[in-house]
Amino acid sequence: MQRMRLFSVKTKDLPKIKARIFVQDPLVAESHGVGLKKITLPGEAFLGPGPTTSRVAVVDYNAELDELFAPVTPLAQGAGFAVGGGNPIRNFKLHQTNVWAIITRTLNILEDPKIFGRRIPWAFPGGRLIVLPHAGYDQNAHYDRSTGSLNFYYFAGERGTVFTCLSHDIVTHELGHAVLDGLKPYYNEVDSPDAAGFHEYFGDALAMISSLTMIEVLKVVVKDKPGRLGARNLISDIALEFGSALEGDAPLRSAANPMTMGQLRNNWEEHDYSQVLTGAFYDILRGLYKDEVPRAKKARKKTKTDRQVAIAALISTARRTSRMMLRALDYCPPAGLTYLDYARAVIRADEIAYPTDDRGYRRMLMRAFRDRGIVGKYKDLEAQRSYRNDEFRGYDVGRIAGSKTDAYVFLDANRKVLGIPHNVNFTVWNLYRTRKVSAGGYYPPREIILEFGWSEDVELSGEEFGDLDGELFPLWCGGTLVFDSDGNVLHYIIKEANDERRETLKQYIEYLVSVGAFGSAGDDIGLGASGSAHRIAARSVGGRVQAVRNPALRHVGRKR
Amino acid sequence: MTRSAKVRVRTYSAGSGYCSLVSIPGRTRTRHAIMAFGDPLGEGGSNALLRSIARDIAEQTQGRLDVIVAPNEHADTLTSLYRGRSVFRKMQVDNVWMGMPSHPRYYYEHPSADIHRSMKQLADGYGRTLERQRALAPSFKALLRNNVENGSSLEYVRDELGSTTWYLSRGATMQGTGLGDVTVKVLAPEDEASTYYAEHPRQLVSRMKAMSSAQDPASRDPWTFPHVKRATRKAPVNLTQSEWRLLHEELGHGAVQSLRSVDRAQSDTSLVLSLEVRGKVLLFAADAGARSWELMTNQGLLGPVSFLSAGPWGDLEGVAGKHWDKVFPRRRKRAVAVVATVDVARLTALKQRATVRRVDDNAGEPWFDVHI
Repeated sequence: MQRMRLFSVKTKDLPKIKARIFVQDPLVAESHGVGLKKITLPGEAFLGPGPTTSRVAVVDYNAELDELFAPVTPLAQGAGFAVGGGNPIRNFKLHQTNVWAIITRTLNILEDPKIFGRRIPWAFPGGRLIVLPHAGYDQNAHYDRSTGSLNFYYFAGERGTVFTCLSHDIVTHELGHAVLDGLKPYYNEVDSPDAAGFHEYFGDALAMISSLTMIEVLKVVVKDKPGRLGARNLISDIALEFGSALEGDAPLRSAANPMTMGQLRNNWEEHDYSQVLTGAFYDILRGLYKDEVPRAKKARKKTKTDRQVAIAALISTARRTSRMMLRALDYCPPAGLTYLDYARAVIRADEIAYPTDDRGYRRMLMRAFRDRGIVGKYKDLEAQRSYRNDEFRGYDVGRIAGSKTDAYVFLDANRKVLGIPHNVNFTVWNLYRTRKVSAGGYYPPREIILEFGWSEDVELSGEEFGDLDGELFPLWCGGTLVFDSDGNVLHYIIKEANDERRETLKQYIEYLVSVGAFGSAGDDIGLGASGSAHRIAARSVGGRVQAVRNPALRHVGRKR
Repeated sequence: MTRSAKVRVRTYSAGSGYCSLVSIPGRTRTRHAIMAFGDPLGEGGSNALLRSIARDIAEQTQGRLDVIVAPNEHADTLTSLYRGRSVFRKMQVDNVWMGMPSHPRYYYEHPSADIHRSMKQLADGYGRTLERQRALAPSFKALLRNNVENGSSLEYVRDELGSTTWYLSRGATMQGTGLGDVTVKVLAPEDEASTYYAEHPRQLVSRMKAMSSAQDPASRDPWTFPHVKRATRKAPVNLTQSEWRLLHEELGHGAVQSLRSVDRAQSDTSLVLSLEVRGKVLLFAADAGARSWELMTNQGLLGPVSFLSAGPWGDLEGVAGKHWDKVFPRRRKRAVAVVATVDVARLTALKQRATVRRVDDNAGEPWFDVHI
């Protein structure tokens, strides 16, 4: 089959770029013998110092020293970088190419027709994500929308300096925040612990997905027990070096965790929330793998060993899991996401991608979501609305897909059918097409995806809201409508303002107030403003609260 | 018991921070103690305010102060005592109580705590550099001012302010040394003050070293990465000028966090006193932060109180509730908490347990009184 790269710039005439990256991190290199790996990336029309390419610009600025480290320069033929040799931990040019190459490689994985089948947009102006591999001294790394940057810090660990830019998991996790912010900008709003937890889950899922594409990792994982995935391995252990530097021999987080929604009662902490979905992801991976290994053994050629078969099964399982869990994002609402919405989207996206389910994988997905307490009954995972084409007014999919204005006119004409309240002044936030391909060369319908939204006001009243008492707080609402290119509605979800959502928002804000997450921006402006000491800066704009998350404190208070 | 026989805590509106005068009626005379002295010259303050507070203290105490408590070495604690020295010199000040880390030989005898002193020195220098380079928020300027080196103020408070200076740490009992038959227990700081930054000492020191080395380009400190080649240009080649300016501004926040860590460590070494007067307990927690409260709670030092005075308790947010459970185990109508925090959001849990008054909650008067 011809490899489809519909959205890629043709780069055949450009030399492929070679770079060395850490497969996991320096600790794993030492403990498992899995260290640096040479990878080859597609050629770039522009390759500049930094490295700088079409999507990524590495700027090695250290804020604490207020100094710029010299950028790595491309080789004359453009096939790689003049990194030099020596100890990789001390070679900052290697750090620069490591972080650039991991990000570029992960973006390629995501944009491939097998996952999103489209370009990943950024939530900030400009096409390049700025990356600072040595931003300063801290046990931290973060994505910052306001500067369009990923910032990686370093700190003293038991075994020496820990450079977060050398951790494959941390780089991909932070990239996950940037990618999700580009795909679903309103998930960054202060809305619910689900949305906040989803951001962390997405980062961890991306770290696992990237690890699963590393053959060296797979070889280690299947080494002892080729038929099953254990509780602790290089896939489920997220950010091992970072976690070990903080607290003994343990990763920062583990995907092989038992966290359920039931255990989160009265707990609104987003990292705890993320554990539920990260655990579900790993459950699904394990379930599919357990199912795949015996099939692969039956079908194997005689020359292959058990280990080779297990690796092949894990590659296949990893691809399937990644597709199922990530593609669902196109079927999620643009705001007000709950884990149940996500679970429904996973099922629906899978139905579209694989109309037949002879191996019973969807049942497995449902079971994973039920076991984690995300859904009570399987019935709840069914689509909430279905439409016939003749229910719509002014229905011309060609026009709808042509521009946001035409899409708006269509939505406005069909408010009643689509459940959009008549009084709300909504905006078309996003309109895009995808081109995906499923396993075995099956082409699912080409999707046209339309996202729209609005906000309503929720009045906060009571001293439990602290400084926010008496203020209006936005509740973000919106819908996602998915057509195929023939105009059939594949999926629709809408999140309106209702009493349940208003109450959840109030409870979440009450929790955030009680833990001192909000800082009032007020007149205290400048470096070190009191608002910047808090996880969320709140200021009154146009009669209601504008709440902005402090990116540097996103991971403060993180838990295993 | 008549109202006059009660302990009176007079809280002054001392600009930023706070100052309170505790007057304890006794058999022979009323004894007086100043618990900290906020910064009348800071935000919302003036020289006139400092003079009016000092005059009132002199009048209320009839020129004799039994105890002055300087709970920590924050500038707003020490400089106010120093600036008001013309008043204090005319008074009889019998005792000065300071935290053990303020002892002149403390760092010689506790080498593991020496990083605290280094951190303060480094933060001072780095803060000044930052102030020259960037537009700082007023609140952060105040924090930097509060952590500047203040040798002359410290020496004055140690050596000249009172007849006797005591350096206290947890476990000390000060009965008969200043406040008559009042039982005074010292709940904090720990004798080994490094415990307040023990959780991240290496990180803090390393970070401070890096910051300090930034002042000295010739430094060979490893945190300056001397082996790494620097760029020849001042701005990155792959950013526009405006992108670079934005990035440069935003990244200053890392240094801000470092300086806040130093401030927190200083707050945590605050002297915390429990005064038991005729069966009622008054707790003066000064600026004690999360680490200090945690230690006091874990060691079982906290019990029900009738009165609590607490500073701006910076990093206590989110964890204060469990400590309030100890000091105010149930709603008590007459229990009072006087707090210096300006963040109303943090008061919710406290309001459920006691009558809360903020230090600036004085309806335009220069002070308010609470009788216990």
